[in-house]
Amino acid sequence: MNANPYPILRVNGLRKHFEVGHPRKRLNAIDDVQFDLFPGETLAVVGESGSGKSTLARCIVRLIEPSAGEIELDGRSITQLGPAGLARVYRRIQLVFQDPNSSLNPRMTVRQAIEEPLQLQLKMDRAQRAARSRELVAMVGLADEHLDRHPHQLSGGQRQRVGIARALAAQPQVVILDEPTSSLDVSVRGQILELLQDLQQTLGLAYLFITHDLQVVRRVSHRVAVMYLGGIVEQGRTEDVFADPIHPYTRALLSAAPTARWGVTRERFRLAGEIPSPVDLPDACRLAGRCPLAEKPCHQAKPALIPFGPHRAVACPPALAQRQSLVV
Amino acid sequence: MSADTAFDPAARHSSPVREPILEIDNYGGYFSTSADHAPVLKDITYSLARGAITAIVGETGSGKSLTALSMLQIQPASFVRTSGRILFEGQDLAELDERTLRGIRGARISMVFQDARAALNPIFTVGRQIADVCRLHQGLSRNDAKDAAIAALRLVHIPDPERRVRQYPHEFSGGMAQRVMIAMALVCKPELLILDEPTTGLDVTIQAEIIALITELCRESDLTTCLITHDLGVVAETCDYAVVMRRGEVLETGTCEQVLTAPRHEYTQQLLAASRLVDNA
Amino acid sequence: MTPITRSAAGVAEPSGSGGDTGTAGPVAKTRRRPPPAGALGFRIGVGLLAGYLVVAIISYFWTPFDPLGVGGDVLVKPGTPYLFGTDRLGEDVFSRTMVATRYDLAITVASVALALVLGTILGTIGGYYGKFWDGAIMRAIETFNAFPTLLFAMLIVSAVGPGILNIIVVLAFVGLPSYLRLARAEVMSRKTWQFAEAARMVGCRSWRVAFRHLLPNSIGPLLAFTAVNAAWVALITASLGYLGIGLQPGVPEWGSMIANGQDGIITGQWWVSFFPGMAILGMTGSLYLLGDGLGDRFDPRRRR
Repeated sequence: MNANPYPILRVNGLRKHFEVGHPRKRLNAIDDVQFDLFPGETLAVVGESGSGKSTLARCIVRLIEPSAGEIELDGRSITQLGPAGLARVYRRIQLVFQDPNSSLNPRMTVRQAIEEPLQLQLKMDRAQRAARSRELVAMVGLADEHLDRHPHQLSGGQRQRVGIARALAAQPQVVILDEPTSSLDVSVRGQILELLQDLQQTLGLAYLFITHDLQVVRRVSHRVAVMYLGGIVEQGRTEDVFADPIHPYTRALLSAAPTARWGVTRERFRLAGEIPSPVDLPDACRLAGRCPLAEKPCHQAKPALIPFGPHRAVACPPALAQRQSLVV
Repeated sequence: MSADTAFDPAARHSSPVREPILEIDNYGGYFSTSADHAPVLKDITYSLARGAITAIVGETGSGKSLTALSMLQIQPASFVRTSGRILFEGQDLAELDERTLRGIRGARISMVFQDARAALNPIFTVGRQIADVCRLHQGLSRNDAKDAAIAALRLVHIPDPERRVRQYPHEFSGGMAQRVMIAMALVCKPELLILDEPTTGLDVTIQAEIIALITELCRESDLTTCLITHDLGVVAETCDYAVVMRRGEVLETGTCEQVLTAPRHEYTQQLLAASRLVDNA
Repeated sequence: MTPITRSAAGVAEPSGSGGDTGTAGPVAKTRRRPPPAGALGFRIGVGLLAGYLVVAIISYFWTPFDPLGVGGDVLVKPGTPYLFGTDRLGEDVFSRTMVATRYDLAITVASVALALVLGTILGTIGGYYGKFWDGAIMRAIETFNAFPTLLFAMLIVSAVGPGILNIIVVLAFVGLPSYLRLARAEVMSRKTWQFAEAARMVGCRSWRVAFRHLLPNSIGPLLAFTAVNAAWVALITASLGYLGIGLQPGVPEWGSMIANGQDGIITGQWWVSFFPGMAILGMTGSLYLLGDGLGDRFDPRRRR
């Protein structure tokens, strides 16, 4: 997986809140998130609506300004940088967007879309840009002829490939992918995921892969972080978490995902009720109202991520206690 | 973690196969607004077995939704039928007049759409909307209709239905709103329920709840269900029969087990492979 | 008329573009629709306007008679040799109508262009940057909007005096708020689209995102509006001329020509006011037809 023990992206204490509604209430979109991303690996961030995962992606690249916290890219803090510094940062970290229909400028050709970063960020001249854009489209599995087309002349999968090519133009080391396959048809998803994995191998990229699709997580990621209402509730190696989820939310999530297999009846781990509104949450475990394992301390304070063995952390004392008693 | 309980096929369809409630026979057509009048539906033939859940599986552009809309004759006005019939209990729905159709929609055949909150009228309470359906088809009094609405909400497991019946659609979350839509569709006890991508766009945990609800309702009341989806996982969870469509054509039909374990058509195999991104043991 | 590039117009989607198109978005699949009923109107409008342009150009080189030539036969009925007759001062109505085309056309085009450019720029700035700039621009515009437009135009022109340049500027000013609001609304709604975020990620500074990415995508409704605005400007110009404010006295202008001939309507010399009136009608009508056609073309339902 990764030989380099030093994280290329490090996020610490990240928070983002919004003031919404009349009268003004606080919405904690991201609440004290912390994780490391190592070169060459894929860390999946999975969650449902209200988990804050899309906000997380944008806060890391400062498309949305975080309210608090530290973000370090390759050892250097990027949280306080001004526009000039950020411009340099965008050469090392890039974002692939979810909706291939709205993430490409409908009036620009593929060539123009890909050459823009080459011109603005890499300052290439016309000849260099032309050569490099041909390389980039080939890298993502498109042909030269696609360069002169507009987005509406391409299929959804092709548009997403263009989005990936555009992100790679600046030669980043980290790519954040915000639900890159969610808007695509099922038959195309596999191709795009394969492409992403190939590119990761060839270019040594680190991916922060945001998704709600557990199948995708299992397919592409080395490690996974599960988010619920703005906080990470469990994180660890993908195979470990899937084989043996500990946090009640992770268990509920995994047991809810349908598999396209005949004859399999899963045992559902159910949570009561629905995801509450993220506005004005009390200072308690975010899952407390719905959780079958909830105890008194759960309603009184938010639990921190507690390490559990190497590479694993869970924010649920009761679940861990159960685990310990089993181990003993 | 996942308890893969051994599966008993007999439990799935314990009743013998019955005659179909709806048959689509060689149905085809095109859109008058397209320049070349290319057919968008070609020779669609399948049937919905009574009391069973049939899944219509396909991706974008397969024509699965269009066919379903045609069952209720609410397809876009620019659609021109060139061939075929849709037989509901012997009558060709495409030939009926609007008045008869109105009597069928909601009362004998009901439909649930994808985006529940968009399908509900935002200025009326949920109870009012459900009650309106009852009163239209069954001529109930205001109070009786209100009771029927509350009962319908209870049927779909919405907690505290007496209070919620007076709320507006925007006060419901996505999953709850979808339950309301199902309640509205079932309040007049139709014989056939069509659901067009009812779980797409909902969170994973909510999807599972809605699927479980649909399965429960179908089994309990011998309701024939037609479930349109692109998600083979949903198909595997719930359905007895499956119809696979692509680009306006039916590629394959059969029992769910057959289609999922031994697909005949190459496209079905591809779809299955793509849906199971990871090979479980 | 602003040339419309191929990529801006509603190019037909390839129907059934493969099985793997994603869900609908701004680049949604649209079925190719039959040419809208307005297409004929559009062509008539364009044709008529082209005709006006030709007349205006020809008027520099040739008119049947000297348009300012006083002293000819007074109040002659239309026919030969005076095609539209003559007015009270013996000037040929036909020649004067031809020459007046220059001014009315020039004022219309110039003030619309000015309003379009300025309004769009200010609207884009307000829409994209929001908060302070938006507030300042909007407050300023709202002050202008407090006045009824014709009255406002009259007041300003009376204050600054007659002259073609003054009229152009005043009418541009009066028309500007509409463009501004349109541009602002379009830019604001697109600000949150992902391609705007993507543009920032590839190195675009704010102004580039606003003007190079958002604005070109917002231009549709603005262009459709120019035709309607132009029709309005043409009418107002004529109205100002009719009221005696505007161009220097003596300079042929349709509105003032109507004013000069209006007594004649009762006494039977209908032609002095009639033909300039028809000229105004023709121009305004063709601009509306053009606007209708453009509106169809840039219909948001078809828009990418």
